[in-house]
Amino acid sequence: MQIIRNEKYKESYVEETLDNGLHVVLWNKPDYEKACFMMATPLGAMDLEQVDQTGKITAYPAGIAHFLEHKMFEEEEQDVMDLFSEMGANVNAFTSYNETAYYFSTSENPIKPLHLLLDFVQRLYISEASVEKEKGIIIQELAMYQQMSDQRLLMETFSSLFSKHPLKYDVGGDEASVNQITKEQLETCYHLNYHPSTMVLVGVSSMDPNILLKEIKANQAKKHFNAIHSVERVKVAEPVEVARSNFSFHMDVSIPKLSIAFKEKGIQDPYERLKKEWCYRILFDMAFTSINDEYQTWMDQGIINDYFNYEVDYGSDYGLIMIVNETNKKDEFIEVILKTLKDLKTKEIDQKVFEQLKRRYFGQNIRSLNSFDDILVTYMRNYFDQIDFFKGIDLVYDIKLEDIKEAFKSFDIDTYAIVELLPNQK
Amino acid sequence: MLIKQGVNCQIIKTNKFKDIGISIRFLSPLDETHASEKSLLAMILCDRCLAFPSKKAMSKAMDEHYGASLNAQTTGYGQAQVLEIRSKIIDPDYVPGEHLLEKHMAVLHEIVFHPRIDEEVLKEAKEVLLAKMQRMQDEPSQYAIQRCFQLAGEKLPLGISALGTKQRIESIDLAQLKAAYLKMVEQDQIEILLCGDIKEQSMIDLINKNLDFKERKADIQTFYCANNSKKSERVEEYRDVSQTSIIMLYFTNITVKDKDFWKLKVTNAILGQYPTSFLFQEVREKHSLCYSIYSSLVSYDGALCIATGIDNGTIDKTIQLIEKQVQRIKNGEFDEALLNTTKGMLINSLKASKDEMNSLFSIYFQNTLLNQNKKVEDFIEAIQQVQKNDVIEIINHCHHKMTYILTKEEEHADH
Repeated sequence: MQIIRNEKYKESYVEETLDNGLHVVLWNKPDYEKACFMMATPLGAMDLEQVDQTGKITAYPAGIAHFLEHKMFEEEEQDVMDLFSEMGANVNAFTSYNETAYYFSTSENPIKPLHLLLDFVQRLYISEASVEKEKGIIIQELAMYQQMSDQRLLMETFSSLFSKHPLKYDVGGDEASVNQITKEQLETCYHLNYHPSTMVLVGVSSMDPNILLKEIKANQAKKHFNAIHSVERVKVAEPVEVARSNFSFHMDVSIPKLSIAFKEKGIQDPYERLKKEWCYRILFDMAFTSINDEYQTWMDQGIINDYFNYEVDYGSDYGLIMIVNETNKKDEFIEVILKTLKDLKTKEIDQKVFEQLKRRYFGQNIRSLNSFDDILVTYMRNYFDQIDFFKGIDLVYDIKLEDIKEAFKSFDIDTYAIVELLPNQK
Repeated sequence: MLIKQGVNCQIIKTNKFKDIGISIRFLSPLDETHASEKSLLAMILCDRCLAFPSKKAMSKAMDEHYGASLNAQTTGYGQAQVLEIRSKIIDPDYVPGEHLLEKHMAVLHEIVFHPRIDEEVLKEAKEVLLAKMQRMQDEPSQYAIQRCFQLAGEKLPLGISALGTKQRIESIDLAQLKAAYLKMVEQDQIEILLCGDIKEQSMIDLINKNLDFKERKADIQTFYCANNSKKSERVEEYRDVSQTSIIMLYFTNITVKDKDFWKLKVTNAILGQYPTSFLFQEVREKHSLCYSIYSSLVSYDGALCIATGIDNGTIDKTIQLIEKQVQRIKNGEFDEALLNTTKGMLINSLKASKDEMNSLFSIYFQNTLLNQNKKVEDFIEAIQQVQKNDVIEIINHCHHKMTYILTKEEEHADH
């Protein structure tokens, strides 16, 4: 058991990798009533084709990870949610492109629900009938997202950027792919991706980590896991070009929304990736928020409104920068964005503004440590990327002006897609 | 602690959090005119002020204080509405010697007492607010709830949105907005809430120095029991939606201050708050009709609201199934185990609220609004005492007021 203490942020946790490979992290937050635990696997919506060490390839319909997440809550005797409820705990789960996570929170003693979390995630119980029954629920979930305009714009943007990469699909897949999913596929997917050696368990509570660790070890000692051939995502050869450079669709909204999204290459090294994301964030905070004098002009001219926002996301095999907006002045907006980005390539960065932003991030980082959810999710994601938690947080402070300039040099301003959400014609 | 007549201050001392939160709340009666004015003020106050006259200057001021958060919002509390200015800074211990709290309180003084209200700012606030409202209306599930409250709450505060109305927002001029601002700082009932690792006396000194409001009357009414002569009805409206929204509204005839309120809390939770609830288990799990379904209380108006999103073709089936769940509770068709589990879940979230600064603010503010001095432990005690018979009695007090359906016209015509 290793104890990690960070004086700067006044936080501490212990971690240990158990004999069966499960990595356990226990964060200590004295004085708190509640406790939160999360168990996660790096199986996400992007994992539609996996190859094991022997070269065997398994392919699944889109949405399999999300479907599996739904089915994990079923047990032979009683529904898992009910069991947690009886213990006074709230349980939930989410699937993203990169991972599936199961978590509970409680203000009671967390030991019983902790055992339950370990047990239900480490056991799959499904039947043909229950798989079929779940399809209706999932299809309504997808329908719910389909009618949220922000979600639709995001999904269509991903579909515009990628022609081969699984990011082109929604996390949950679509009605057709969900209907294709079978009990056997779910079982295969489960066995390949829910082995303790691939998973992490993170907890935040006021309870003594030694007591918790003892319970976790006792729980794991009772179970036997067959060795598996570890799998990884089959790399897809994604073209440099975007799949659709211009795309528009209609919904029952009143003001048009649009996104302009740039396609970038992925970055293999996790620290390099994180650094690149920070460099871009700093640049875009300078260019696309009120720190930029022109921001107010754009507002005044009706080119942007408060919906205007940007997102930077890099993975090992993809990269994207997406800028969204709500406006009737589409052409002016695109012009403004392209011009601003072009200028960023040549313009000097204001050292003072750079320092101002670093102060902002320092405060935001400290305040994020109030949130149990933020700690769980950040730790889990960093762990799968093999990034040290505090190194990950502190990386931003080591960034220099030259790093930002260097990072932006490779930015490909010409490879972008435009997606428009237009109001229905009345 | 009453600082002056009409100005109350509560300091929640805890070293649990890594930040210090300051919430300043202005309470006034809720009506359409004032709601629109307040809503515009909420857009303006934290955007710029005379000392920091541009968005850029304001961002800089917040970044100086290590990315302090600052926002304003309006919320309805029954017959009243609140404009809240909330700001959080990191605990000054992280940056010793900088006098962060003192400096930040001085900035808040500027924001509250020296706003920048002029034609330019008003024009932008109107545009942004109207766009926000439009955006909410564009989301069918949000629109459906708002529309149901509006229809069922005719001539009641329930029917008034704390955001205001499009028509009124468009027509407000500069003189009216300035007058509304003055009225707010001079006449509204005020609550100042502070939370974090703070020293009480020095905090009070800082408040006296920076948030020195004048005396005012404090007799704003908040909670009430929604009641009108309208008959229970079903309203169907159409939009181009891929999923039908159903909202069912009941008047509970119980106020938030009523001794039966916690019985109502338990009743609502059994019906539709948790995954163990009747609605979730029957409508979602057994019949696969929806992904999301829940019931919730509109506590200060005495209302209970059920919301779900379903396939356009299963409207009647779903409504019947929901009504059946209400009937099951009326008939007492639930066991002690479900009652106890539900009580346990409610107690669990009450305890957890002590770990969230925003929840602590709500609990302390509610004490002022209801003129009481209750602790989380008192609520837990009240929940523990709820019996099966109480639940049956309470659900029988709830009267169905409206079933609102937002669906797609063409598809529906097929059924």
